[in-house]
Amino acid sequence: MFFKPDRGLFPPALQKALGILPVPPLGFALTRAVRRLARTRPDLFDRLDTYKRTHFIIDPVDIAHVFRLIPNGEHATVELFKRKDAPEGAARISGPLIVLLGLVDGTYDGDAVFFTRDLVIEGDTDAVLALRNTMEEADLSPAEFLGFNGRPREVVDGATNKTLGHLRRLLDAPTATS
Amino acid sequence: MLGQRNDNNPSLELVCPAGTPAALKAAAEAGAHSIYCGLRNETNARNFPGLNFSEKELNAGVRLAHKHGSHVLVAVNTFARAGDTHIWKRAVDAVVRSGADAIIAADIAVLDYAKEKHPDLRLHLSVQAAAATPESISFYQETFGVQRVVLPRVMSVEEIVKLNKEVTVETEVFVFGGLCVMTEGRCALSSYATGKSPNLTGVCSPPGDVSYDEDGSNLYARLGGFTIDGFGEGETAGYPTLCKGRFKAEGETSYLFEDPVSLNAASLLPRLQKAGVTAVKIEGRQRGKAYISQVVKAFRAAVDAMDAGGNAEEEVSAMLSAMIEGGRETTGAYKKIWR
Repeated sequence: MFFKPDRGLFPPALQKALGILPVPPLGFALTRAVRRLARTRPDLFDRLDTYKRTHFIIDPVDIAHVFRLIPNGEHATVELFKRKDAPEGAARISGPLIVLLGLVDGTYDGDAVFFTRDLVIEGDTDAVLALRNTMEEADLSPAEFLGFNGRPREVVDGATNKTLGHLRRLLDAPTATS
Repeated sequence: MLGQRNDNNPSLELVCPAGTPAALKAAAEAGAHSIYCGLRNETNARNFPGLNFSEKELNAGVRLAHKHGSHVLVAVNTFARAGDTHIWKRAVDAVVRSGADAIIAADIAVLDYAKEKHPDLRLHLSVQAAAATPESISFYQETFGVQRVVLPRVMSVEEIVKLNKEVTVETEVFVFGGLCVMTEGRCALSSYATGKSPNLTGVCSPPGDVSYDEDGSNLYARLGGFTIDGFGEGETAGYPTLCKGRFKAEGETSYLFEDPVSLNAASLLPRLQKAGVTAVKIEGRQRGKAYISQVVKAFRAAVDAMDAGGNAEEEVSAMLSAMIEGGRETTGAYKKIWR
């Protein structure tokens, strides 16, 4: 092993490599994905109630960028910022990227990774809870989030789950809940 | 199976939580005999942001649960406000329309409305009613036709044995999850700190009043501005409920009321069954579907193992050790010898 795995954190070399991510296209793609979800499952966004307009800062601590999510249904936006340029949000959720992804796809229980301090919550706890419960209900698979259907969805989900599972073991990430 | 336990059918009924339709599906698929949930408003004692069911979701959830052979019990278990009872009445009507199998209520106004308007509706007395004596339980049974009582988490097994000999209603007890060490329905600690009541608006230690602040490697959990606990580097954190806070008194810092531990009474399932308990309940409507799925599977395995003459306690503990608050667990008051 050429690095010491630490609770799911990416090794420093990979952290640096991810720093050259093409920021605007990724933000655009994620915004489109969230808006598509709002069109297909509007009930999901009702669950957020007044927190639809909250500015959530999602901070994967092991990459160079942070995300600002405003989950306002079909007007939702996801933007990426260099950490040094990150805006203040009403609520901030921080953790290794592999843990944050695990919260989206249901691999991890939010409470469990919070109690073990793999996840840090700051700011409006009500808003974070509303977002977390909405994500729970969404029961999103990676392919569904990206808009794949039918057989391609199965293939993409199968490959993604296998890759993430392998990464979690390699990085000594917290034990999956599911 | 709901309410059918008898000498020929001694199986414990496993009652599992669902805070969202996804969690309900997870519980049903994991083998829950019954699933309890609430509507998305102040009529239930887990009125947290983003949690619970719309009426439409409840209707669909009941259909799905029934398809899996699971019963649905709906909590309308806060206390109705004088002059503003229509929300609670509407909730009771919605439960009936959904085809759910029972309502879990605590307030005598809600129980009375349910009995008068919907005489065929099965009534369970919520733990929020804090009924733990034969006299109080008989009152609810005789007055409202309550068929089951959820017992407060402050009773020992011996007390449950004695109580079950003196009442004819079914009893249900908590066996896993968050541990409320106070007599539910009568605790005002959270109201004192935040001005919001678990009993009236369904929020104990409401998240909007919670903050987690980092100071170096220390993490401080606060409720309503009061520092409830602090955690050093590597120390497992907990939710800042006042009853599980660490306070300084007479020069000593300690968990004055209760350690931040989770209830795990898996080892006591055989004794609870022998004590005449009908149903065992898992706490955690605020927990995610992954948690629900794993806990329900573990307890269903334990209940099935008991039915087959075995004991699945070790398996349950191994499966669930990573999922408990504070990383530690207790059998709570069930084994307490002091009063």
